[in-house]
Amino acid sequence: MNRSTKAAIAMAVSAGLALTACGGPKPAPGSGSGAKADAFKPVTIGKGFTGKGGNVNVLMSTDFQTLDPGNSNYVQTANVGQLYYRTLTMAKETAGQPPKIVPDLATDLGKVSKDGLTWTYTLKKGLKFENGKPITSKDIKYSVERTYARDVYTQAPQELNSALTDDGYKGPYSDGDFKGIDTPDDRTIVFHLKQPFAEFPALVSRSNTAPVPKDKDTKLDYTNHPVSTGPYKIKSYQRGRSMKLVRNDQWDPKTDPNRTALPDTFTFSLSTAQATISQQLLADSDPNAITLDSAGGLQASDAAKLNEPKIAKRTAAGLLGCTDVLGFNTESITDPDVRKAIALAMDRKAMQIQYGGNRFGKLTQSFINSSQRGYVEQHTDLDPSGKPKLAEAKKLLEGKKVPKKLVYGYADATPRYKNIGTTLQQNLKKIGIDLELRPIPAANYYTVLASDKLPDIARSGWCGGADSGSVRTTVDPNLGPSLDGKTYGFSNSQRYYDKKISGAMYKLRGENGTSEELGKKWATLMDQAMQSYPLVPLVRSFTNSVVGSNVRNAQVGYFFGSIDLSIVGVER
Amino acid sequence: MTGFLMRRFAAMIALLLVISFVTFSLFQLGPADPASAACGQECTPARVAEARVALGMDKPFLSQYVSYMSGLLDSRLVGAPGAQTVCEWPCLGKSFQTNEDVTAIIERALPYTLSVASGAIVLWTVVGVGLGLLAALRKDKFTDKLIVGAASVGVSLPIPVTGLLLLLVFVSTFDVLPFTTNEISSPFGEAGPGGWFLNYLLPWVALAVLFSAQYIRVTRGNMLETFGEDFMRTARSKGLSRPGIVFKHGARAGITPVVTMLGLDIGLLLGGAVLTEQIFSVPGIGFTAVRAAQAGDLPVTMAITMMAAFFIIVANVVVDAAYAVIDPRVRVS
Repeated sequence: MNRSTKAAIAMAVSAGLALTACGGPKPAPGSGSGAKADAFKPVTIGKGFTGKGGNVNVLMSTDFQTLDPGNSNYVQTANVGQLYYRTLTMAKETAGQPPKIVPDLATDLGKVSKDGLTWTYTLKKGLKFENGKPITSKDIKYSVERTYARDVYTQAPQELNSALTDDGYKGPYSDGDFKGIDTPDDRTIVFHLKQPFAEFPALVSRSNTAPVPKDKDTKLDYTNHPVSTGPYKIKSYQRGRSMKLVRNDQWDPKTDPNRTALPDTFTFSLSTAQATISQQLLADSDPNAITLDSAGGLQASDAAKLNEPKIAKRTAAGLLGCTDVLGFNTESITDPDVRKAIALAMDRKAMQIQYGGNRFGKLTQSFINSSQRGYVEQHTDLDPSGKPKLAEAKKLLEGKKVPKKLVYGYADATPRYKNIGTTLQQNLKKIGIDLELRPIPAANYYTVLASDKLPDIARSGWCGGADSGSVRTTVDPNLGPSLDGKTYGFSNSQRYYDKKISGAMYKLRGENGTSEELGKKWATLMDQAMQSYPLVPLVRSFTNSVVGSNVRNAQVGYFFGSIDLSIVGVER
Repeated sequence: MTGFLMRRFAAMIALLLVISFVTFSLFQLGPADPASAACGQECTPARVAEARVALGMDKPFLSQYVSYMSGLLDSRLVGAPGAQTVCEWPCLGKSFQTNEDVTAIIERALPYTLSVASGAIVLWTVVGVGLGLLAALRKDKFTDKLIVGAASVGVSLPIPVTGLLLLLVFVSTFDVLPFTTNEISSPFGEAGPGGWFLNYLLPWVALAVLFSAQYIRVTRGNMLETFGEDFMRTARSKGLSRPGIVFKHGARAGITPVVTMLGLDIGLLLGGAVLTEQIFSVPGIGFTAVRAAQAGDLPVTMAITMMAAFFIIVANVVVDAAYAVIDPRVRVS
């Protein structure tokens, strides 16, 4: 063990002891919210590196929940999936920016019919599975079909499916042919939509379109050895322990400009404790190591160490598309002025510190961000530096019927969310409101928010939805109306419904146009909705990921939130 | 003895049935719903219903329970109709999280827990009983006070403190031990007995600091009590040698409460040393249990609960049998 290993472990252990003694995380120096704008500039380590060979060692605290592209809604699986499966289009990451949708198995981003209801894709020539069998349009259709078997695959991604016709389809195991897709020949695939969807090229970048050969579909056991279509294939996979990926000689790099496939192999260590991962990475005890754990496997107490020059030069960083907000139950706190007063009374800066300060998240004024297509400026009266505006809040409440007591619900597995509640409790006391903190089982958190047990105030997070570069896929699920437009939508946990604004959102869903044009309309409606304060924006995630000293082309993906495996390499 | 063991075995089966039923029921009645946990943020009621089918939770409670328990007798089919897979005997179900056979998960985790438990038990028993005996023999002298004082400190130190301190001193400051790795799970692997010993030494010491302290206090107290018994005075008056009095007569009688403690502690530890495994990144039973409980993974939680209960019950039976061997008075009664 070298000196830096020792030093890092010593610091981590001391930090651990300090936490044990004091009972809670403390902000690291320089982690307040008053950082300069460039504190959030994306950092890529070893950009432009082209050396081939070597092994990347990926440290993870848990096994992948699944490697089956048809049963995965997990970003970790999507990230590693870039190595062993390809999709019609691909969400290509650039640190700090929403992914760019580019063609992958398909020759282009698709040809849309005039009415916007049909999208046609053509497969590139020479595409093969790892066993040498050619990939056809029928393989893609079958792969989409199996994601309709939701009674088999609980995590099957549904964004693409909900846009297609024939939505009563039950999947290939218990139902017949799916009518939402045609395959006139082996290279052509035609999708039929219920209504126009400008972001459709992003929908077919989801793992539903990763080809699964019908004769190799072992259903739920497919996760043990998915058949590769990408640059690597699975050589060995010991659940919960390790996985090794080696080169797939049937992958033709000429068909794939998106993946550099630099290392010869990837090894995954699948059950290292998160504290161990951060200590090993900070100490550079394995120069070829990276992690896919969220927040780079780092704890709030590690923030100070990231400023050390030796570690800083190995730290990739970038803002993600994930934003946390505090949502109001607009059915229980009905008066917009009361919601606004509560929002103004909040000490969002103190809440940001609960996230670990600037090293872990940027204080934000909006659920959407300026890097999304069609973004228009958003307005609120919240203090940009996160300080409470108590006098204004009190003034707003004058003569109003103010609730004496409110309930804040939080997911019980994350101490930070409880701590946010404690801060909020102190803030609301100053405007005469008592706040009860109510724990909610973390695994069922969002189901509770969608039930009649929705508390008055609750935190929720969103990472951009089906197309993280689009404004629509954030605004619609979080503030939009139900499918019939008559009430609030299912995951709109604010229960926001305004006849005029929600009605306009409902109408906008069926409109034809580019993502940019429609995005502007969605963003404008979002700004209008925000004037009644259905939610309070808190923090947009910022991830630092320390990598081993040999690792190159290491960028933090906006969507993945971890090192993008499609371009990473190692210096030998 | 055979009759005694048979009776205990029958009681053990009955108790395991009760525990399995209670655990299974708690999952049904508890606030966490595995089906809605399975389908994430946009979990519509229709999607939850479909997830319930996928997890086999759409059937009546008793039918689910009987189906689960039947896997202990024979292999069974699991999964949604039309997409079922065989779960080989002994089937403890498939993880709701990863669809992995729970038996495989337990098989993977158990060697780690056995590694942690075996060394720790030997260490704390030798140190605890040895020092307890020494303290009793040196009653009120400096050695006694030193040992009792150390025991008081040891028993007050929670594992997170001891564990992190050990890492700080032996791994980072003096660099005399390696960081615990999950590559080593037995003394018979590539790393050999030496690598295994070094890998688990710190978890052993962390556990031993806490447990030895209790063993020192109990051994010392019982030995002092035994030294005052009439039969010890008789032994001394017969002119027996001091080691003979202490070990053959004294220790044999004074050690019985320690055996009880040891038996129960072994049973408890085999069910997973939760904190120790977390701190030293050992992916054993305790580590697995915490993750399964947080994720609402019923099959994994069920299996670990039943296994932990099994170990505790077996440990009780062994303790009772050991009593008879150690203390002849028990045999007579």
